[in-house]
Amino acid sequence: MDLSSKPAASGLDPDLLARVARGDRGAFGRLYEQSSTLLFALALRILGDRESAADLLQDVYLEVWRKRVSYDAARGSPMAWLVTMTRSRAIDRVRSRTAKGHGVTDSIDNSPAVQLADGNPSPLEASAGNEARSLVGKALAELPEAQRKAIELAFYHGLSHSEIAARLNEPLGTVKTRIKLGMDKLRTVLRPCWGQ
Amino acid sequence: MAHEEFEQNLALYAVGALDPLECQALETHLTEGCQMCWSALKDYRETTGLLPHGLPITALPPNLKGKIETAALAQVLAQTTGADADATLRTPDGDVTIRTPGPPVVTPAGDVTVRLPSQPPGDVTIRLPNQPTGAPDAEATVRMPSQPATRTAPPVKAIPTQSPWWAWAATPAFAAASVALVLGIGAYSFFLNSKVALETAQRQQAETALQQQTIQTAALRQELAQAQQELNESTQRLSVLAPLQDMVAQREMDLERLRTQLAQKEQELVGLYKTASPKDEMLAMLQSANVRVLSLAGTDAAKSAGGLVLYDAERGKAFLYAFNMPALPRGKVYQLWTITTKPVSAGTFHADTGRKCRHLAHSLPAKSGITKFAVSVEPEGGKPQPTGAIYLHGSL
Repeated sequence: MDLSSKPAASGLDPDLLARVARGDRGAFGRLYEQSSTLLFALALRILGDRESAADLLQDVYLEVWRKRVSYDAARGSPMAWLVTMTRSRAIDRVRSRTAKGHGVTDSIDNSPAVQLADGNPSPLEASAGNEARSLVGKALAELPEAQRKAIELAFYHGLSHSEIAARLNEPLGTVKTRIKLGMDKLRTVLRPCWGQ
Repeated sequence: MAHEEFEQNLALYAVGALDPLECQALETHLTEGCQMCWSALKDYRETTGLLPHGLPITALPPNLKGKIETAALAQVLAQTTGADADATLRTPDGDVTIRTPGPPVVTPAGDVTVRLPSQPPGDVTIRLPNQPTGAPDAEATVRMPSQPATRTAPPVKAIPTQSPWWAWAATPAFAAASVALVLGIGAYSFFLNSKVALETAQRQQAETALQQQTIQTAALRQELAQAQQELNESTQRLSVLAPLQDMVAQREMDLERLRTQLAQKEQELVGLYKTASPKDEMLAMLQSANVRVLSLAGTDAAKSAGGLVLYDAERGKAFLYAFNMPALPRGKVYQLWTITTKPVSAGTFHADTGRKCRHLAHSLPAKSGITKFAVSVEPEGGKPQPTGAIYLHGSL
């Protein structure tokens, strides 16, 4: 597999999405190259297996291609938009599995233990997105454990604050405060990475 | 809900931690156009958009990009054919336009026919095996069109007079055959892609419907859980209240019983007071040095009757004790009179058991110069002046 041509996706050109919306297959290919690694990691983290993650990514990119979903530059960066959409679709699938009685795999619950990487140092880690990866990793590591856990349960497991409170046996107000404080800290620390 | 409360919820909304009802309320607020909230939400979304950078990187499936591009291309062709318009394939070598007056015809044996505008001689037929994946064994039979098919391709170059052995490859016949072959393969590819696109669309529709049903089911389940919780809480409250209500009812009954007992005791006390008081007063007056004793004699109307009066002129009190009093007619009472210059009532009374009478008059004018006492029979309630028979009388 050739990963060397895929920069870690820390930012996307908004014009790329506009060109994709006009049916430009070249732009569509570049959009995939620049964003698929991050989105696949996200889908894998939520869904827990590579096949489901690949299937989800195909649906997400086809939705973008068919213009079923429209991107509004005033509401955020293209990458944030794609991450939000991918997370939303993945959480929907997890809920669908749960509704069917399949449940959520243990590996998902044991955060952050989804280590499906092939173990070799990825060329991506030396690419342009390395700065964002480093900053995000440091920001998450510096968060108090309770705040980080509450944010991960919400973002990767799709749990609401009341569900988190019930799972952790904590007061509802405490959980809300933890998420708010954690998000505020991350927002401050990660601001330099926005729009990269 | 106030704007500040919505603002507090934005971080939770961005990370997906709000409950459905809170989500709905916040989205309504955003839809109403609160720019401050939109701006803050944009910041939080930029933040959550970076969170996946904290995940371990993993290699992408090698065929994923190809699958996605094929599906996207199939989508274009399906849309174009469905609209009965020209299809444009963008390839690295340039655009190829296939004019499609109608969808391609696919026979059960695997024949794919694309009708070109110049038909009937413009038909191109590609014969392929029944199993589309058996590419190495595939045979292609191209029926040459009598007119070149319409395409946007570079013009064919002139063939030199003395051509090398391979010059046949640049002949118009070969060029036409190549065009027909390309169009045929494109049409077959279109057939496969259309089929894939159709199945993909059907699957996605089913998934979308399933997701919507799942969301609705989840919402209903949540409502049910809330209702159940409220019901449980209400039942719990009732179960706590029921003993309290029983206790209150018991206390009320106890209180009522105590009130009844108290009323009875008060009545008993009043009765005791009524019987005990004259005796006590009499004893107290007998012990007083200022009390004078006056004997009362029966008149002709009550010859056997008699009595005495203890009179305390200083304190304005008089105690009457009478005996052998004639029985009172119905509706009559005894009335005691004090006489100075004229009779003044000192109260009415009835006979006790044994035709004995005790009566305490305690509101007499002090040092009023009373000289006589008398008892008469009067109508119930008494009279201001004596009107009936005098039974007893006596002077100091």
